[in-house]
Amino acid sequence: MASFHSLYSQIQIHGPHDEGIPLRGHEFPRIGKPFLSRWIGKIGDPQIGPTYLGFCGIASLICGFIAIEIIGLNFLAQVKWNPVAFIEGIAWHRLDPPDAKWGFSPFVPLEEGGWWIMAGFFLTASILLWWGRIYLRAKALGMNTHVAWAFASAIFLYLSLGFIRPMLMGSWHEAPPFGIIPHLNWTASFSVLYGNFYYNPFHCFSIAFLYGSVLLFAMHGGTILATSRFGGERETEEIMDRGTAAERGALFWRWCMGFNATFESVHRWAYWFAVLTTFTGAIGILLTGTVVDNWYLWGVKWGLAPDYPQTYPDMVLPPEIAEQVRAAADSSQTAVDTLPPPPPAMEGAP
Amino acid sequence: MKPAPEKSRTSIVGIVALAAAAVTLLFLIVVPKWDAPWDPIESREWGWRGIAMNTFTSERTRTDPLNLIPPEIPAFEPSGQPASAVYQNLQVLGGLDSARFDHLMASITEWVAPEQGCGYCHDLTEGFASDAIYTKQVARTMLQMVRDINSNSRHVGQTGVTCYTCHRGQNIPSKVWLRGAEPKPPMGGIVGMPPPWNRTAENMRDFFPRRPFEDYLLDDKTITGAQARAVSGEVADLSKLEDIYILMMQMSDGMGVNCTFCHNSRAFADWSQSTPARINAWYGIRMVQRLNNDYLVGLQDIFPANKLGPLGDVAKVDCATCHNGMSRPLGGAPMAAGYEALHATGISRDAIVRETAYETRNARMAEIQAPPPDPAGLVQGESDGE
Repeated sequence: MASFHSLYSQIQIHGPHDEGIPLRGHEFPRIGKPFLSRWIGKIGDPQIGPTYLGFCGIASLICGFIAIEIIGLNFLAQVKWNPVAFIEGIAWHRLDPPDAKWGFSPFVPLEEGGWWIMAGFFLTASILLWWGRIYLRAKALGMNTHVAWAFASAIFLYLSLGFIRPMLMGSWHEAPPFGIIPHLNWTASFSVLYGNFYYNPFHCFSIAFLYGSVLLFAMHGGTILATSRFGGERETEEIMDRGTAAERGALFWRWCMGFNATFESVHRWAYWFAVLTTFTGAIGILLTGTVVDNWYLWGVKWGLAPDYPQTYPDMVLPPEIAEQVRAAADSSQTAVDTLPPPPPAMEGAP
Repeated sequence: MKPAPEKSRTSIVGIVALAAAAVTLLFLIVVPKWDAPWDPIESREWGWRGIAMNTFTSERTRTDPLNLIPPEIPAFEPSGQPASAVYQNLQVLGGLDSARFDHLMASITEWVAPEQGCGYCHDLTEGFASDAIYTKQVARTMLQMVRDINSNSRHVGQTGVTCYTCHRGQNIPSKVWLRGAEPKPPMGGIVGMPPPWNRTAENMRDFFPRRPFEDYLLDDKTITGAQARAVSGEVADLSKLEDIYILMMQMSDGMGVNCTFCHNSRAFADWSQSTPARINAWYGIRMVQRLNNDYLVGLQDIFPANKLGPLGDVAKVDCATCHNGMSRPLGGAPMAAGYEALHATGISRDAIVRETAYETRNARMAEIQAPPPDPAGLVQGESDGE
């Protein structure tokens, strides 16, 4: 490598542009004339460009553009092509999946959810092509394909939400809508509909891995920055030929918590935590409604949801509600097994 | 060596980035309504200890001028003769003592039309008996409505309401709802689904879709379907669920509380884990349905077109109309006390704690919250959920 980087150094290296490795015969040309930026150099490499798109990148951008166009033009048509209204409502516009009556049919009239299917198709194509690009660029540089497989884990979650689970449920209606606030509303409603995702154990795993990823990232970044005065940022050299930076980093964690990862294994820790965040999340999604209807009751059944004493044991339910509660308890044996008994009725008004 | 154009480009990037950061920071400081660090946010716990069934109230709700209790209007000495002997065309209040009737009329003026005075409802050239102005017919219906609420509403109970509970000194209560201009699919063109939100809204509250209000506060639809039974083959309706979600969010916004004021959010549907406030709210939804159908919708033809909504419907009530951001309107002050014509029952006006509405409400909340004796002999510990 012609350049030397040290995180501990404030010096930016400005010189002739790095043109990268030579193109291979079948590759598209790289795009953009490179330039150097002092401000960008404060947070990364000062050189911007050239970038490589290739077949996958170009096809991905085209598909992504089509998806965004379908979504955006639907939004715009909803406000009768009024650009001001389009901007005003940008957070609230929505493109909904087909109603439940259409099942999982791929042939839905455009105005009843067909646009949603089409937008989803092109968005998925775009994402998969981008995945291919990540994979091929790694190969082109002689790297392994870890990044592509980590991205595949995230794509698995995306597909589980929008395609695999709706397929298992036999209904597009189960998929989230496009739109900023609508998809957030969907998330909240979806959790409530299936009895609170808080008690979905794979949701728990996903959160644990997510927070774990953040923690590992901070621990590792902190360790490297702290040992960079001993050359700690040259991690690969320290892996192959352990020097004082690696020794000190290892000792630090061993003294602090009894155990230490190595300069090599810490990257596997972080990688798998990140990959498992979306992978376990996807499993939690796929089990919802297919195997488990109510995660809260599941949590009660398996001792995950503790039972608290009733704060208002003498609360008098409205007669209609008391009737409903009784009827629900009679009709659903699983519910009656797990729900606490309804509070006893009392004379007089609350 | 660095060519000159790059230098200027990078410095422009830097300046733009710094300016954007400064504008964002300024926006975040100036635009949202922040609670000052020295204004305490009060937290109150409604469920079993440690399960975070809390509500938070801040100084901003307390100091909303609309939530302050207005000065009392001094009562007149009873005259001894009925109002029907003094005034003509009394269809509701003829039997009331004439001086008490005058007191009520003066009060209504203060509550609803303090600026316009008697002439807001009465045609002063034709005399008080005239029904010429539509507002008088509206006022008569509203009077019947208030008497109905105070006599029959389990939701309001002993507290009682007056015109002021909703109107707060304004001709039209500040928080009402109208049907949104919401054409139904198919609309033609490339999309079938129109945006459900109300683009003519002047604030965020009115911006939200009206369908939940039409379904649950006007039509007598039951709020069910919030639990999936997909494993046993039932198809869930997620759009209906979103409606319920929006209705509930409007409800908590209107009352200045969060979900856990009524629900244990781990199992929203389970009544046995809910608080008594959910029962009040349940009766409240039914009361709102009844008020909208029995009183307000019937007035639609009386109102002039400019007082109606974009689809020609009359302004209707929801939770926020009375509550205005407080869990008990005006802190639970018995505003109707002393107005026998409003069928006020219960506490006398003298009993009002003449503090801010906020403090009154706290006293009432403590009342609701006092734990009943435990028949099962369950040991609740020393700080049982307070």
